[in-house]
Amino acid sequence: MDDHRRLTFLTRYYHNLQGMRFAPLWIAGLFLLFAWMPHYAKYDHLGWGAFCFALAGLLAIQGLWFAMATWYYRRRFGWLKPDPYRFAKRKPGGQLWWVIMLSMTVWAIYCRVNHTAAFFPYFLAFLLTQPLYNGENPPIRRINYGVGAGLIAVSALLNWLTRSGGVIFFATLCVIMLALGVADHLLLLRLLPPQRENADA
Amino acid sequence: MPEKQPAFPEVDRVVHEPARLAILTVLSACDRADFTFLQSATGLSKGNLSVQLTRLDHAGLINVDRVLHRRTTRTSVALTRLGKEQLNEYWITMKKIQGQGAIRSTKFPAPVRA
Repeated sequence: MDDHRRLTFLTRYYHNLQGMRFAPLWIAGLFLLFAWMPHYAKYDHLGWGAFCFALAGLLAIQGLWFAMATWYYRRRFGWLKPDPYRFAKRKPGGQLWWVIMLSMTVWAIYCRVNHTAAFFPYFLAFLLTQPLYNGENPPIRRINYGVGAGLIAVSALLNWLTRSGGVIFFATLCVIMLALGVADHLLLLRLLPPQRENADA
Repeated sequence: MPEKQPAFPEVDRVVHEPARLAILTVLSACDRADFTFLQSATGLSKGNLSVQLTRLDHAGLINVDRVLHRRTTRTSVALTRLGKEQLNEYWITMKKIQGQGAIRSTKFPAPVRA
């Protein structure tokens, strides 16, 4: 990636690349899943009250972590205010994005008529892996999100085939989103150059 | 008699310098950025970045805003309208030079080594 593209991408996607801000959310998701599994399997180790209490506590930890991570990124790498007009100027995704979006809409209507929610895991995977369809992202980020989207979709399919009640899908979703957050953070570190002293003053 | 070559267009020296161009590129992609972000993105040292910002500020290309916050000064920088125009003009000039370079290379191709 040349310097002009690197600087433009880094500035435009600085907030998106702060992947560690949501890490506890996905870890909390995994924790709750494993804590809840005995209940799901009728062992009833953890009741609904404890589950809700744990959920509230973990969400509070997530909020605290989010504030701390935002402070860390601001102190370590700096702060910027994004271009307010950029969202309006943004072009819609490519052909693939439109094909998937329209297919999802048709499928969602079909599911609504038949009173099922089979489309939902795939729609969630589509929503959470939007950088895949954005041509401004470097290939490595698109590959990461593409692999992530594929794995989440496969887990949703496996979930449906094995009738596991959402466990496989939810665990995969949390692991993948956590890994993508770490990958984004590493990409941010890679995009920042070492300090140089030789520029002409 | 050799064919007269068209002169290369003039390039704005304030914008053309790599460190200043990097600062302007960052600022053109956002509304406002602080000193730390500019330092992280460009890799310049504090002193060097400060000098480049002063130059750009004197040229009227950026707007530097200093706010006192808990006994420290927070510096944030934004591109002015003139800065946006100069940067756009710079890229148009560079494209023109690139085009002229392409014409020259087809008229006078590099000698092929035997």
